Amino acid sequence: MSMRQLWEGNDSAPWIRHVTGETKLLVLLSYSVWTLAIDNPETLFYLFAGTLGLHLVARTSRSKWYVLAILLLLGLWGSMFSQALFYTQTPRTPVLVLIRPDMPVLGRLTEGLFVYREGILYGAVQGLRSAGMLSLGLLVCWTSDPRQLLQALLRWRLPAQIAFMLVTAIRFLPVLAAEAGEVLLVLQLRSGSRRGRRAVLRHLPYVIQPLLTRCLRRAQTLALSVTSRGFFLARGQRKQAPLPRSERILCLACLAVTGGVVVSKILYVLSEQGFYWGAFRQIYDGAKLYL
Amino acid sequence: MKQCKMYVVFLLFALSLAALWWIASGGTPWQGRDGARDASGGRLVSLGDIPVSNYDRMGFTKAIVRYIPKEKGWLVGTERGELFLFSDQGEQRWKRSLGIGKLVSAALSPAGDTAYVGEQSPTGTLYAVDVHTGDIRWQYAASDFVGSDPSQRSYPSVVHIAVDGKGTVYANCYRFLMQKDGGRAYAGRMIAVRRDGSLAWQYPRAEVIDSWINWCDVNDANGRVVLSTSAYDFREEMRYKDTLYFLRRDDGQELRSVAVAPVEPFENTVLRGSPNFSADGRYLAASCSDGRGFLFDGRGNILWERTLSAPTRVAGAWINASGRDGFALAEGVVFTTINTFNRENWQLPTPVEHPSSNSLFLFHYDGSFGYQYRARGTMEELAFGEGIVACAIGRNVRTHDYSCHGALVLRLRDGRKLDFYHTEGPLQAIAVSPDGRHLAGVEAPVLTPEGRTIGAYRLHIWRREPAGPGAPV
Amino acid sequence: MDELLRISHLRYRYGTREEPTLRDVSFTLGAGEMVLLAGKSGSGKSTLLQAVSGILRTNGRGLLEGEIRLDGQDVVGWAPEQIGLLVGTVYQTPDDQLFAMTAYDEVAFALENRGLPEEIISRRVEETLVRVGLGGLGARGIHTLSGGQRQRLALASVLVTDPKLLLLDEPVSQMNPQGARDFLQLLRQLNRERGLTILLIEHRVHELAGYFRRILLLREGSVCYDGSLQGLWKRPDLSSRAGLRIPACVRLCRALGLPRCTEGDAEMAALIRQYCRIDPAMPAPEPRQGTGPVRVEARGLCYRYDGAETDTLRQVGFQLRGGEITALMGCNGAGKSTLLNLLGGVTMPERGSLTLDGAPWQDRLEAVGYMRQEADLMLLTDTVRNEFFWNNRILREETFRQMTEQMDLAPYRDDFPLALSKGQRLRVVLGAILARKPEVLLLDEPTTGQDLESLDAIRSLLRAYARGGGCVFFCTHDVELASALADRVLLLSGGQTLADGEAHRVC
Repeated sequence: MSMRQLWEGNDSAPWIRHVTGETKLLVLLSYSVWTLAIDNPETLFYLFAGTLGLHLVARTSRSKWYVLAILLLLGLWGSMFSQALFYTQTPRTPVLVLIRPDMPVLGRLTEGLFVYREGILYGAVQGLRSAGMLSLGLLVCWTSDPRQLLQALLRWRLPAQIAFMLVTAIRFLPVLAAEAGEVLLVLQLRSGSRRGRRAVLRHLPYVIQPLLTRCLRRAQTLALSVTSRGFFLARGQRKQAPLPRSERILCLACLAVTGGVVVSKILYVLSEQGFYWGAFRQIYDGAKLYL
Repeated sequence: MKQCKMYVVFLLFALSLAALWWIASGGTPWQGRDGARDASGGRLVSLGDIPVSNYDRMGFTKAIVRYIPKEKGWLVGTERGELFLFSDQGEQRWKRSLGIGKLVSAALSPAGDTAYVGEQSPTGTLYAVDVHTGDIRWQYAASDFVGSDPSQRSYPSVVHIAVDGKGTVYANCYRFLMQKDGGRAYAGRMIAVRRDGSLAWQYPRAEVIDSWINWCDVNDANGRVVLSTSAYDFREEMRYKDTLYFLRRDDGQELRSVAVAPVEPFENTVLRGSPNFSADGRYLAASCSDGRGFLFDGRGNILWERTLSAPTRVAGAWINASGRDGFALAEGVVFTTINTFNRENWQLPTPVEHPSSNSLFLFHYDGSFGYQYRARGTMEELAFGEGIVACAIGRNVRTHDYSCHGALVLRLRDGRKLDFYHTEGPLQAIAVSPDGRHLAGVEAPVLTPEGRTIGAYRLHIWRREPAGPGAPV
Repeated sequence: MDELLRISHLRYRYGTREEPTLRDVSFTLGAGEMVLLAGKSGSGKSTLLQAVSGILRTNGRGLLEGEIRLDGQDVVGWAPEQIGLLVGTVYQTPDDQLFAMTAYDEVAFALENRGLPEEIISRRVEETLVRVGLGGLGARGIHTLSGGQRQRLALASVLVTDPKLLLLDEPVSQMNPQGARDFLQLLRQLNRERGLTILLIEHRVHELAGYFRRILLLREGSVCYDGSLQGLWKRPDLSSRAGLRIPACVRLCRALGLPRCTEGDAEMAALIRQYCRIDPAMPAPEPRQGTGPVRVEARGLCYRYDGAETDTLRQVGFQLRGGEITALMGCNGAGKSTLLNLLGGVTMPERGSLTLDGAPWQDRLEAVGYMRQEADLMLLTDTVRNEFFWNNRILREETFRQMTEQMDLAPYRDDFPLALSKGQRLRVVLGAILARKPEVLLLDEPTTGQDLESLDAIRSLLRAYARGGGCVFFCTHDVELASALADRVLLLSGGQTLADGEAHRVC
């Protein structure tokens, strides 16, 4: 599977491809609110696991799982390692000493390097937040036609130009991915040394410019193409079919859960600040235990 | 090759998910998941992460642990508002999350089937929990009796619970208030709730006690309830300035109150972990913050008074070791003292340790001295088994001797040290089975003055063998 | 013939330039005509197309004068989307203009924008897909289509609205010869059967000549020729000044002094027999085989892609000598790119050996310069100078100056490379690679989309490099270029060497 195929998606289960863009974007938005509002690591883990479950039922291909796994591994462990090492809040408890403070040179320079247990948990929470978003975001990207998303945004009364820009960003993900690989290869090929021929990290800073330039050109062509096909002219003429019943229910459920989570969290935070109402005790308890 | 790489990535991903679940669900290695053991061979059970308190500030980490003979297990309440029932092996039978409150007090019904648990929270609820299932049978909010003012962080709590033979629960509800002029004020009330959850009475009926009420006890033999009151500073207009209030058990009618005169340099007499009746109701033992131990008769008359730790002026500062617990047992009258404190401010350093600090004293009923056992850390809690006393040994804020932390088991008769189970952090709570063979304690994490965190919030379960300590469960 | 498009005295100057790009363009296009618009890079072809599409008006950074009448209406003030109702535009790269996930959705997009009922959309989409030869492929994902199919899809996505005029901007420049032929055949069919008016921009006139009767030649922003192709061949000065590659048949006709020029092989053969004397004793041309030492040696190279059932390369072996230029040819799927990737170090052979001067290839990779097909992606920096000096410690200023002068890049040393013309961009990349003094130079389709001027420049560069003892190995579909430039041709078919010999024999 080519890099481009990897980022385009019509190999997923038909049911998810037929879910409208509105529903997908609403679920994604709701999920992002949940992950931001929720601090409980266990709940965040289950939310994240839920997105993986969606990938399973959407029959995400093995190659895509591979990419997903690599991205998630990098994100999760990167977050945990960095927080474990550089956690600055207190209390913090060293569970491992990497550099002792009394070690010559390094110890004095760094004043010791420790792995903090609170940092690991904090990093896991942050990692789970981003991993969940990444996982669900990729699912939406991999199972959505850009037109679907464009129609959804227009239905939400977003100006056509902005909607187009947003969707173009998604549309160019596959192109970006494919060309980033090509540019990286080119950088290796243009390296004069044997080491440069194999290096990846040292070339990364140079990837952006050619990639961006190409994307701007491509975006311009795409804009011209959709313009000449009447996209901006015919905004009022597009037919707006109603959402299927099952999707309406799902959207309402998402909105209700989002509202519930946000209100519970706000009430809980207020109660911590002293604005406590006894009638909400169960909400406070629920927020503390699960949010 | 590529296939191979893919499988390796998938394997790593699966392992990472497992690790994440492990971390996210509170099973981190440092908390010791099921099956972990401490240095003494005891079972370790994590109770979750809690804020780590400063080693030099005592009394902030709460935990409750009780042995449930019927279930052959341990009821544990935590600062995180969670109530557990663990088996002797440390397996969790159930977990009841009671929400945002901090669990601070507990008692068992005479039949051992119901646990009464008190919390500190914006409502300060008293729960009656079925120990077999974890179901809540009934609950009362202390805020309904003493009010609540979350904006001032004035949270009510059920500070102490006593239960009589009929299963009626006597609970001290209390909250602390900071007045506008900066002065301290208190609102306390004792409530009596019948076994079925109906309110029997409340004391006082039409007002709140304007001093703090730390402790209470009830006795079936003499039909009395006793509660102790105190305050940092008594003001003229305060009504409840006496030390002990005796109430009729059945209707909460006040029978009498007893004022115990303070000793220099103290202005008030403060009782922290006492008084307690003897089983037959004839005696009442109490220990005061000023370092005195008292034995009263069942009606509140002082039979004798002993100085456990005389306040002493050293280098211009008054120091003493506060008395805390008082028990009237078959073996004698037991008192305890805690760390050495500076009279001016308990957080200020003291030049020396008081020789009577961190000790357990036993006196005979005739007032004669039995023995003193000096532990190197605070006696945080006592629990009694057949002929033994188990002591939770916590901080010593003066010496910072971390090796003293742990569970100490003494023979009550002569104060002989039977066992000692060391814990890394200070042990905050302890319980022992009636036969003395099963012992459990809750350890707290603390931040040492050197900036090191020691210990964790976890339950230790030890099984005592007649041969000695450390026998694996 | 009704007039569909009339352009009168059209003049356009970009805001950033002093000289107008379009100086005075006037021509008309009759309904049902199929016209080729040619000219070398920078002659104003794309600007003219943008002017007709209405893009220049909205651009706002230039000055547009003159008149554009489309179907009798002056469209100069129209928005591009309004013009889009009459004009369909297909661009060079299909990937840049396709938007949806499946072929059906892509074609339906324009109709959905017009708010047509679903049943009508469905019928018209199916019809259009059949018309462009993609019948039954509506449900296919766009990425699963071949390059040629994608370009057909791009065509279908605008055809579905029945435009009056179809504009195509170098639609076959990225295609192989067979793909280009098929696509042009389709256009001709649409033109003939449905009377579709077509204006196609392309400078590969030599390949497209047979499909168009009329050609518009732009030079320096003006129409310098508007007439038949036959007429153009009679004016060699004009075609060479416009940077057009003349078909080989026409060149031969001219060289032999035949009374007329033709593009048909049979007709040309008849003319030669009629007007020329063939001397069977005439000696064959001297072979241009390299005489230098063998530098590159490949033996039994095999490669198989992951998941493929058969090897893409099967026991390929060859030798490259110092000073030799070798062309690698073959149909699509013959294994050309795979072989180049092996030589470029992008992939490793599964079996076989590859050596450079006797040393294993992997140890000498830094001595290999590899120019990929998409040369624009190899431009990494802000200026031409920086491109040459990027990661290059052996290049001296003096050498840089000499090279840029030889490559006709001297005036652009401090220009942004991506702002240069296509030919110039390619020369910058090639120059940057040559500045490292590689011992082997690999080129993947170096002449795609290049005009005659650029081709000549590339040719002389490669010859100069080969004279210095380097090996050149380039992959191309362009038989004419291969025979003109290469000393040897390696012909691959089905991953195996079909022929390996002197260029004039193999080609």
